[in-house]
Amino acid sequence: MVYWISIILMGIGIYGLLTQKNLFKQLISLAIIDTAVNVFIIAAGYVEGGKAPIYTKALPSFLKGAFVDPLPQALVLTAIVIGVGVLALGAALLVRVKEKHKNLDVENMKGVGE
Amino acid sequence: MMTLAIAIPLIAAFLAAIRKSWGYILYAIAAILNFILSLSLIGAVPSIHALGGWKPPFGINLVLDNASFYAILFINAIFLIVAVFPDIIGKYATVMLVLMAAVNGFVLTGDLFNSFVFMEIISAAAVIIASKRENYYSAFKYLIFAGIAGSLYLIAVIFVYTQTGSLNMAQAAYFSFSQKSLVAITTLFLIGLGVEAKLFPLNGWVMGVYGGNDLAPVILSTAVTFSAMYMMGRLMITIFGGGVLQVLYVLALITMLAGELAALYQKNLLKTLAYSSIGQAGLVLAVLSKGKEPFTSLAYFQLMNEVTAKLVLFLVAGYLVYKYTNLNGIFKSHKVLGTAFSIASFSLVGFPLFAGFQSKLRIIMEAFKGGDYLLPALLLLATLIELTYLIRWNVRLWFEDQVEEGEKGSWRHGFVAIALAIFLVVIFFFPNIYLAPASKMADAITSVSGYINIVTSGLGGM
Amino acid sequence: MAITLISILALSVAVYFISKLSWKVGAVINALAGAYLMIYLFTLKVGSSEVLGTLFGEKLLLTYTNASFYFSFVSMLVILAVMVFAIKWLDSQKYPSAFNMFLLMMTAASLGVFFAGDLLTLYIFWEIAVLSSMLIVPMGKKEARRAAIIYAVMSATGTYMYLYASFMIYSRYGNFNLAEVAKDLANDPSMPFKVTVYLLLAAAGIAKSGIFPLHTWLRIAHGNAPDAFSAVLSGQLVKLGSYVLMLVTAFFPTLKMFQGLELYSKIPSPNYFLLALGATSIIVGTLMAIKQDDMKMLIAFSSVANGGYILVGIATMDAIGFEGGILHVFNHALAAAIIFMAFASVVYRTHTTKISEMGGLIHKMPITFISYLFAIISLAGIPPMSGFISKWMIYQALVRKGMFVTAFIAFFGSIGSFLYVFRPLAGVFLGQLPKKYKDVKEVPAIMWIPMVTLVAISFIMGVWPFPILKPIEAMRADFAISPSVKIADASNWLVRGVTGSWNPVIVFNLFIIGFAIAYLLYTLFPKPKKVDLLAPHKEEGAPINIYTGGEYIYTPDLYQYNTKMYAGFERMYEKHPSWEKVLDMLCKFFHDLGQLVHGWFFRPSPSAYAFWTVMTLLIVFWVRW
Repeated sequence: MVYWISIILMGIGIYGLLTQKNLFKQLISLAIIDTAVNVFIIAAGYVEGGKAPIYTKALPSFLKGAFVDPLPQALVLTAIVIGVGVLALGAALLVRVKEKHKNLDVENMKGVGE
Repeated sequence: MMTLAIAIPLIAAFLAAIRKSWGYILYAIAAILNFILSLSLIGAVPSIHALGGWKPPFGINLVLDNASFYAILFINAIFLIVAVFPDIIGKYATVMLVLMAAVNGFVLTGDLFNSFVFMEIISAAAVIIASKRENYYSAFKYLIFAGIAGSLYLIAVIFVYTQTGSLNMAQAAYFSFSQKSLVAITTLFLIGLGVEAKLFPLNGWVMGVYGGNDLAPVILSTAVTFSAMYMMGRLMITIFGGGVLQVLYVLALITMLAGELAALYQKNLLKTLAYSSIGQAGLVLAVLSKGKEPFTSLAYFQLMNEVTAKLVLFLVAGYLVYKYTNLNGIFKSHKVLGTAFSIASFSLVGFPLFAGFQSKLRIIMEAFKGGDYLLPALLLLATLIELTYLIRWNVRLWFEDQVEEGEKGSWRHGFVAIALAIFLVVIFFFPNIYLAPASKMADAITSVSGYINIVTSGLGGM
Repeated sequence: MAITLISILALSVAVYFISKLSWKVGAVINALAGAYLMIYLFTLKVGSSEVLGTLFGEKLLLTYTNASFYFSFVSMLVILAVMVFAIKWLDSQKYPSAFNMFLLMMTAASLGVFFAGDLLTLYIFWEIAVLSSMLIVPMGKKEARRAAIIYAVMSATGTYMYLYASFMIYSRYGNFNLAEVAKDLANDPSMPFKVTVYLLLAAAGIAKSGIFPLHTWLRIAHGNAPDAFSAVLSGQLVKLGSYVLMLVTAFFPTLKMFQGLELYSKIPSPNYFLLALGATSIIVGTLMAIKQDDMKMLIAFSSVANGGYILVGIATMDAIGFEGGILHVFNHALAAAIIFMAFASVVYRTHTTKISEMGGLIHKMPITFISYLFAIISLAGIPPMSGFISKWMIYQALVRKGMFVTAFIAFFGSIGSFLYVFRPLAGVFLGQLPKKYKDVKEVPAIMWIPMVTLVAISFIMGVWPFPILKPIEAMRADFAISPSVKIADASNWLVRGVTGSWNPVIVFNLFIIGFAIAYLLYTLFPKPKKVDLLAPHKEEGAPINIYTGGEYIYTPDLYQYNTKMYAGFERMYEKHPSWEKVLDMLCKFFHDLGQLVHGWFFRPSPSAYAFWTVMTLLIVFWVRW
C-alpha cells in the first residue's frame, strides 16, 4: 500500500515538473519527488507487524521479523538531509534568478535568450 | 590512508568556510597534499579501507584498486592544475574543496548509498560552481536535472538493497540478479549517472553550465566528467555486467552525433566547446558500452586525451571570452594561448602528431576487428563535423581582422596551456603514458572476480 | 628516409623561430632545405625500404619506388621554385614566419606521402600535409578564411573515407602494407568488398585532386590563398590526389580485381566510374574557367579540368594512356606553378587579381609575360611545349580504346582551354595599360628566375621528353600495364603512339622555322603605332572628344574589352545548375539539424528536461523489458 503512495507522489512530482511554468513550483515538485523516494525507501524496509528498531526493555525477544529494517530508515535520514540541502540551494538560486530575470515564470523571464 | 583523500579537502573546506580570505591558500595546499597522497597510494594498491572497522558487506568501505587509483590520480592532478589559477577559483575555493572531497569519495567508495551521497554533493557543489558569473538560471536547470537523476539513482540503490540485502558494491557484483531486476536497476543507474556523464537526452544542462562562466567547464568537464565515466564503467561493467549496455551504446552514438551537430550550429565559443564535450562523451560512452577489453581501456584512453585537450581549450576560451567581447583575430595578441588552443583542438579532431590520433584510430581499428562497422563510420562522421567547427574557430581566432586591442596575457594561462598542449604532442609519440594506466584501469573494471576478491580478502590497513 | 623526413619536420618548427628573427633567413633556409631534398631524391635507391616506427603494433613503412621518385621530383621542382620565389615575394605578406614553417612542413609531409609503403603511413603524412597547407590558405585574401574551412572539410571527407577503407582492408587482411594489400586484393573473391574499398580509397584522391563532385574547394581555396602558395596548391598539392588515384587504379591490379565487371573497351566498371568523373571534371572545369573574371579562380578551375585529364589517362589502364596521364602530372604541375607565380608577380606589383582591372602589362613586365605565355601554351596543349605530348598520349589511348565520347570531351576541354588561357593573356598582359599602373616595374630577379627556370624545363621536356618519360616507363613496368611496348623511343627521337608517332624534335624545328618566318615578316612590315586609351588625341591633357555609339566617352576603363569577354559563349550555359549550391544546401542541412537538436534538447526549460528524462526511462524500459 505504501508503495502506491510513493508512486502517486512521484507521479504528482513529475506532473508538476512537466506542467508548471513557475520555477519555484518546479522546485517544489522536485521536493515532492524526493519525498516520494523517501517514502519508497521506508516502505522497502517495512516488515509486516514489525516494531520500531529501538532496543528497549519492553521488547519481548529478538525474534525474526520483530523489527522493521533499520538501515533504510538511516538512509532516509541521510536522504532527507541531502534533499533539504538541495532544496535550500535551489531556493537560494531562485532568489538570484528572480533578481536577475525579474520573474520566476519561465515564459516571462527577461534576458534568458538562447 | 585513502580516507585522507576525502578528509583533507573536507577539513580545508571547513576552515575555508570560517576564514574566507584563506580560501585560495587552503585550496592550493589541499590540492597539493591530495595529489601527493594519491601518488603515495600506489604502494597500497589493491586494498580496501573499512570505515569504522565494519567489515564488508556491512558498513562502508573504500576500495583502492587499479581503476580507482588511476582515477583519483588523474582527478587530483586536474585539481592541482586548476590550483594554479587563483583568478578562476576566486571566491569559490570552499565549494571547490567540497567538490574535491566529493569526487575523491565518489571514486573511492565501495558502497552504493555512499556513492549516491557523494554524487549529490558533487551535483550540489557543481551547481554552485555553475552559478558563477550570475549564471543562475542555467545552474537552477542543472539542479533540477541533477535532482531527478539523484532520485532515480537512489531508487536504484534501494532496489539493489532489497534484492541483495546489502549496499556493498562487491556484494552486488557477487549476487546474481534476475534478468528483469538487472534491467530495472541498470536503467535507473544509467539515467542517474547519465546526467553527469552527459548522455543524450539527459545532457540539456551542459550548454548553459559550461557556457556560462570560466570555472564550471574547466573543472566540471574534466574532473567531474572523469569520475562520472569511471563510475559508469564500474557500475555498468563490474557490478551490474550486461544489463542495458546495448541501450547505452545506441544512446551514446546518438549523443555523439547530436553533440557535434549542435556544436556546428553554435556561435558562442564556450558553448561550442560545451557541445563538443557532449560529442566526445558520447564517443567515450559508446566505446565503454562494448563492455570488454580492449574497448574499455581505449575508452579511458580517449577520455584522458579528451579531458586534457578540453582542459586547455576551456582554459584558453574561458580566459579570452571574459576578457574581450569580440574574439576575432585575438590570437594575434595571444600567440602562446593560440598555439595551445590550436594544438588542443587538433588533438581533439585526431590529427596525427597529436594525442587524439592515437586513441581515435585505435578505437576505429578495434571496432573493425570486433566486426562493428557502424561505430567507425559514425565516429568519422562526427569527427568531420568536429573538424568543421574547430577549424572554423581556429581560423576565426587566428586570421580574422582583429577588432579589439589585445592586452597583455596572463603568464599562468600561457604556461599551463602550452605545457598541456606539448604534453598532448608527447602522448602521440609515447602513448603509453596514458595507455598503460588506462589499460590497468580497464583490467580492474572488467575483472569482476578481481574486484570481489579485493574487497573480501584485502581487508588491509588504514 | 625516415631520418630526413623527421628532421625536416623538426627543422620546419625551428624555421618558425628563425623567421621570427628574420623571415628572409628563414626563407633562405627553406630554399636550401628544398634544394637539399631535391638532391636527396636522386641519391635514394629505388626499391629501398625503411621502417619509420611502429604504431598499433604495425610497422610504418617507407618504400622508395619509381612512382615515389617521379612524384617527389615533380613536387620538389614546384616547391623549390616557390621557395626561391618566396624569398622576395614574402615581403608583401602578413605572416612570413608561419608561411615558412608550414611550407616546409608540408613539403616534408608530401614527400612522406609519396614514400609511404603502407596505407597508415600515407594517411599520417597526408593529414600533416593537409593540416599545414590548410593553415597557409587563410593567410590570403579575406575570403580565404572561408576557403580554408571548405578546403579542410572537403579534404577530410575524402580522407576519412580513405581511412575507413584502410581499416576495412586491415580487418580483412591484417595488413596495411601496400604491396601485400595489392596481392590480397587480386585474390579476393568478394567483389562488393573490393569495389567498396576501391571507391572509398579513391575518394581521398578525388577530394584532393579536385575531381567532380568534390572539386568546389579548388576555386575558393586556390583563388584566395596567398598568391605564391596557389602555385604549390595547384602545382603540387593536388598531385597528392593524383598519386592516390594512381595507387588505387594502377598500383592495385584493378584489371585483375574487377575481372568480369568489364563495361566497355575492357575497362572495369569501377574504373569506368572514375573515368566518367574525370570526364565530368574536364567539362565542369573548362566551362567554369571560361567565365571567371578572377584570374586565380580561372586557373583553379583549369586545375579541375587538368585533374580530370590525369584521371582519365590513368583510368584507361592502357599503356599509353597511363603514361600520358602520369606525364600530364608533370606538365600541369609546371604550367600551373608558372602561371600562379606569374600571377603572384602581377599581384605583387598591381595588388589586384581582377582581369578586367588590368591590361597592357606586357610592356611593364615582359619576363612575367613570356613565362605566362609559355606556360599557357603548355597548359593548352600546343606543341612544342611539353603539355602537348601528354594530351596527345591521352587522346591516343582514348582513340585506341574506342572511347569516342570521352575523347570528344577531352578535345572539347582542350579547345576550351584555348579560350580560358587567352582571357588573362589578353586582359592582363595585352591591351591598354590603365593609367594607375604607369609606374609598375618588372619583379626582381629572385622572383623571375624560378619562373624562367621552370619554363625552360617545361620547354626542354617538350622538345626532348625522354628523360622525364624514363621514370614513367619504369613505373609502367612496375605496375605491369600491358602492352609492354616501348613508348618512349629516344634513339629514334620518337614517342610512339597507336595511330602514329610523334617526333618532338622535328616538330620543334618546324616551329622554329615558322617563328623565324613570322619574325622576318614582323620586321619587314611597318611597326604598329602606340596610342593612348583615348586615341586620337594629340598630347597628354588635351581635351578629348570621342564620340561613339551615340555618346561621348570619358571613362575608357569601363570599356575594357575583357569585361564579359566570352559573354556570347557564356550565355549558352548561364543558368547552369551549380554544384556549389548543392553542397551549400548540404551544409545548411547539417546546420539546421544542429539547430533542431539545440532547440529541442538543450535550450528549453526544466520541464522539457524532466520530459526527456522520463521519456528515456520509459523508452529504455520498453526496449529492454
